[in-house]
Amino acid sequence: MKDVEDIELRRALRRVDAPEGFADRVLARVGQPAIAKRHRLRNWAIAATLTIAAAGGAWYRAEDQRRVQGEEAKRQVLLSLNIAGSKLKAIEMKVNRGRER
Amino acid sequence: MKKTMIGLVSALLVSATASAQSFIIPERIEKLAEKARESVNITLDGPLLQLAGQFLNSGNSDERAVKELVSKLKGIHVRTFEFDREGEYSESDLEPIRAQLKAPSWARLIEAKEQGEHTQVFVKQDRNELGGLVILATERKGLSIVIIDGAIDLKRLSMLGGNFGIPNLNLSTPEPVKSGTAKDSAE
Repeated sequence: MKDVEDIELRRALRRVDAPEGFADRVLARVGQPAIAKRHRLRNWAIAATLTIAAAGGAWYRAEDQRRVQGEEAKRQVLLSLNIAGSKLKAIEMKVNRGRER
Repeated sequence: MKKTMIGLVSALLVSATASAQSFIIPERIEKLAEKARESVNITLDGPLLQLAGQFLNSGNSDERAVKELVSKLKGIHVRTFEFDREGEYSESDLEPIRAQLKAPSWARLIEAKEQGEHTQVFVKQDRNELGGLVILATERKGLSIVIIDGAIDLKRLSMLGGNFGIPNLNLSTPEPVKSGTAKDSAE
């Protein structure tokens, strides 16, 4: 009787090879949360980079447009003063000629 | 009471709009550009003048002087036209502008007529300083309109003579003059 029990126990506790791919599946399960976390972080980093790049691009374009407008406004101010000065000079000369006559 | 309030608000709005509209250049003048050989069209309002001021270098004494000059201005309008032929416009085209230069605010400072040329300078008296300057210059084949709205310092403009293509001028802030009278005339 004792022999029978012993045999059954040995059978139950015999070394059995793991099914094929078991180790890979276990390792895959173990690594999944870390990979998902890494993916989330990577996605956030990409989104942040794209947002910063888009904002930077928009700011640069607006600043460039402002610079062009500012330079043009400056040129127009100087041209206006130039024209005003020339007209005032012309009238100054006419008035002086009138006085001399 | 309600009607009075509406009337009061309307009057305030109308007066605010009128003061905001500094100068109206007639459509007939604007269309002269189509006939002109060369033309200049400059309209600079407050925000654009402020922007221009930001691009004038304070480190450069000449640009600093322009910056200070510009900082007190409300607007600049310049229209100049050069034509190939005579008679492309008439003096009456300028009447709508002259009509805006009425007393008590505006006074004609100088009027000069010489060989088909007619130049008028109007100034706006704003307390004891110049609040604006308008130059209307007609020639046989040319027309120039310069409207500078805001406190303009003629001394400072004189000091800019020789720079930025501005000729040397001998200007000073004029004494207050009565409206509609020519202080100087050379015919």
